Amino acid sequence: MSPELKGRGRMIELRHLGKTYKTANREIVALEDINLSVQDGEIFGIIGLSGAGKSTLVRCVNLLEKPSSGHVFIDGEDITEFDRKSLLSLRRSIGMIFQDFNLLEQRSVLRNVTFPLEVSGVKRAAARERAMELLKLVGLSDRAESFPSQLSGGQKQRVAIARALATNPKYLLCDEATSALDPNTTRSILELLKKINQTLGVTIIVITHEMKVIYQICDRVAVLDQSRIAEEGSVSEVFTNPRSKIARELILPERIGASWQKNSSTEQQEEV
Amino acid sequence: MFSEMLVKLWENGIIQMGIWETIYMTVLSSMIAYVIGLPLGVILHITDAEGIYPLRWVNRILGLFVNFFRSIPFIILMVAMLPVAKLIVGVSLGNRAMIVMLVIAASPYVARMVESSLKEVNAGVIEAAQSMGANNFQLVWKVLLPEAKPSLIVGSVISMVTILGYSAMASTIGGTGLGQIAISYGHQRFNPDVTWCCVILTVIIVQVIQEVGTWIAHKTDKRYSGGSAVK
Repeated sequence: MSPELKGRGRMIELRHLGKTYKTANREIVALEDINLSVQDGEIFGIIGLSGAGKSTLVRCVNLLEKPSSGHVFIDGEDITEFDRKSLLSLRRSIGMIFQDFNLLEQRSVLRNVTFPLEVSGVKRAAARERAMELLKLVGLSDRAESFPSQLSGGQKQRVAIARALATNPKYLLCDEATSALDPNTTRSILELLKKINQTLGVTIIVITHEMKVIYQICDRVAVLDQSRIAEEGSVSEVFTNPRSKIARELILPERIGASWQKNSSTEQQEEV
Repeated sequence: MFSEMLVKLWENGIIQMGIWETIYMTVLSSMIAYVIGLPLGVILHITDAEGIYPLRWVNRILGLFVNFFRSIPFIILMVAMLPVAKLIVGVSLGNRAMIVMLVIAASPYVARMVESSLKEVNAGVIEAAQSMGANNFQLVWKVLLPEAKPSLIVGSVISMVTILGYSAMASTIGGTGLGQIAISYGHQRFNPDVTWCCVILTVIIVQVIQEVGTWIAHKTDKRYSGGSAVK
């Protein structure tokens, strides 16, 4: 293996990643030559408009989508070469949450959180104990016996976060995790993610189309535009000095909102 | 008020026997049809191009097979399958042969009912389970089937009512039950009240199946918050 193709330790690295969907009569390029590395312990944001390829990109990290070209290194190992068994066990070390929460509707909150543990063969009693710990972490200990249909959107996402953390993953992928939530709930979910990052040391990748999400919790950000990375850097750097057109488009209206937000600390700010 | 025939049939317990036979045929055939149809439905669903284990040829061939049996009217299928019944249960007449017919006719029907119930399961939930490293067996056993359960129960009620209807037709090859009583004592011997009595009893049986099934489906469905909070 050439040195270029070797991973470099504990982190997520995408190299020359491409994804093309073939339909009957044409090819649709979803991702083209994506190069990224996400360092351990950081919160990395990927922002872009609808159709930019964000969701496909994040699904390439745990191979829910199989890339058409390129490599995905996790902790130095090229997971695109994993067999099915290693892939399934790898996925247990990467949590994921979704825009629509995707909770199991016929299971109680507690049994949703124990689900990934059941899947990896953890004993029932130990799984319950672990799930209760996590429900406490997300502030829903009292809802363990409720069913998802009885919860609000924010509560559902908290359950989903608890579930994603059940197997003690090192990485957490968030696919538009706050896009279906109102502004106040969004803020509290983002605070929870930040807390998880800081107290548990979980590396988080956040996919979003909202700049305020990036601004509120991310350390670094990549801007995705038309299947390619237009720009990448620390949030403050990209925020104060966006070089690409798409970054300026995404940031500028939000920046006005953000500075206003800082000036009026007592008010609720959300007017979009 | 009632014809002599109806009174006699009742006094000799023929109608009561008919009720019992109809119920027992329907329930037994439904159970066997599900033993065959449920796995078929699962295979149809997961091997679909959009499924969790796409296998184009298996899906195609199984789909053709199911459609083949479903497109033959039951009364014709019954006659055509007489030799098969003889092969399986040794006779081509009577209730045992009838159960074979009912199972042959109902299994493909059940497979499609199951397939359509599984299709209702949110694809996002499957994806979430995949992201947690669930294997295909776990996806079917712990996600697809439990999440589709209320819909599967509703489907089984519809299947049972269909099978009950088939069982009446099966009296033409010597099956017994309310259908046979209606045809041979009611229709053929000009006792319309016997026929109507069988019709009303059948309607009652269908209603009971329907009500009980719907009640169970609703009771076990956790998507409706009413009353299901406490286990």
